[in-house]
Amino acid sequence: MTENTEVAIELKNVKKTFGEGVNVLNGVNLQIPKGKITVIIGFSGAGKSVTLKHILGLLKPNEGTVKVLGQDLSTLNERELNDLRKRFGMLFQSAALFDDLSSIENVAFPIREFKRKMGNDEVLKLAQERLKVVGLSTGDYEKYPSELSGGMRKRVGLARALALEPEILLYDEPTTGLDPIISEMVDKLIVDTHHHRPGITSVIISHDLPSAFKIADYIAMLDGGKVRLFGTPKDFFASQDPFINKFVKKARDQE
Amino acid sequence: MEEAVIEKKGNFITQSVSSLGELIIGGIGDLGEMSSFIWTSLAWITRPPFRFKEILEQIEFVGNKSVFIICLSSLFTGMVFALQTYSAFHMVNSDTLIGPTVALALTRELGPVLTGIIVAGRAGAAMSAQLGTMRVTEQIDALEVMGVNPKQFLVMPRIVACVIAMPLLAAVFDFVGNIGSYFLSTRLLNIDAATYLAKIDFFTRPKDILQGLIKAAVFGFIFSTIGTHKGFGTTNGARGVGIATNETVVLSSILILVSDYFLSAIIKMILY
Repeated sequence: MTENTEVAIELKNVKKTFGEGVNVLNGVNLQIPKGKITVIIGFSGAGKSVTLKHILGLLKPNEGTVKVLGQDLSTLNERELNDLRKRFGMLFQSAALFDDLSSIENVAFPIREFKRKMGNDEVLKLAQERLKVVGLSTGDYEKYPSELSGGMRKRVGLARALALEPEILLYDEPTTGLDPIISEMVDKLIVDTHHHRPGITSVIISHDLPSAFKIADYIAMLDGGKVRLFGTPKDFFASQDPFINKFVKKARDQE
Repeated sequence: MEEAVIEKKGNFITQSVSSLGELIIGGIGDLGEMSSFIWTSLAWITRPPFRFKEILEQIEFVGNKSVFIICLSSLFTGMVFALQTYSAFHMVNSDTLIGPTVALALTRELGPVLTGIIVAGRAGAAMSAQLGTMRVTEQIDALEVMGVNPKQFLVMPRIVACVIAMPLLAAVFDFVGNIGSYFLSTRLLNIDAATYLAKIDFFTRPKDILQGLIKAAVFGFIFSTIGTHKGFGTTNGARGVGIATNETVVLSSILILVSDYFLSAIIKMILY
């Protein structure tokens, strides 16, 4: 990675232990570049979700630092952390939509929360725009999450994550559990969203290897609580590491 | 909380004592965690945004939607209490004391306690079920990641709403219960209506009503903190939600009855 690329998220020697000596993160060093699509891959238990939670500030490391958009999370108080969180949007694995609100109200929720001076009509108009961008049909705007299919829920979840025009977009296992056709749709959605907003940083946590190699600008591979390799897909194909080779072969086989 | 690994060596006695110790330490730890939960949630009352909309919505859910069941329960409670006290008072020819006896029993005890148990079962269970479901579907994480503090948005309005709505509901219980007793006594048991009402007036004081309302507020605080705390801490999917809801109702009911005794004792010391 070149020196003059700006860094959106930086983890320095992050270590995290749970319970009695369960070392989930053993010194993670990661620099996620601004404006690119970075996919963090790894097998189950390698520490992907835990890394994500550290980036979001939901967990604090036992050792090491986490810097997001230049700010060290451990130096922020609750209000400052909340302010920082407004600058990123997250799509949860199950979309995590509020089930007592309709699709459009779900998207309107962060807008209402943080742009209190906006009138109701303006808020709804903005929410509609976001839903249009993710390709949800107008007939589904008033539907509740329980009435939507999995793919539609992800769209609404993405629209909600984009509501306040975040600088960083995080995706937690976006294609896990989805059939190949919907997975491809989600991949396309991620890439389109990224290019629709110049400058946005997209970070995807996944163990969908073919997707990762297809859409990523950079890939970070987590293994045993450490970053085994960070680079472009080309770097991965060219690697001499037998573990990486096995990984790459598996991805190719799955396509 | 990290659990200390205690090697179980030694004989039965040392093992029992160390198990007891673990239980107590664990219990105190849980109590501390819950106190911290309550404290951090309530601290949000004074910090903007003030969440009036959410508080009002919760008052409607806990209060308005409980009115019917409270009226129905209290009507029959008043009636049956009048019926049963009649047997005793009739023997000593003091029928007219039924009025104040029922009134005092309702305002001091039955009103707040039964309201507490009924509403805990209704609204307290709903709180733990809803928050528990939100927890296992990552909706609470979504709020946090969005920059909205979940304790301020979800927990605080529920606790505040219960403390406000419960005394009001207890008052409804007191009133409707007395109506039930009045009609039973005067129509069925042939007690003179004027005397019935006059005796209530003679024996019942504002402090009798007030203490019931204060108790009701305390019970509201009890089941709302238990319900929200259990909901927030739910794990293990749907099964976990069921367990949390069950524990909420059981624990709330027990604590309401236990605290009722201590509250009554304290009130007796202060007011009488």
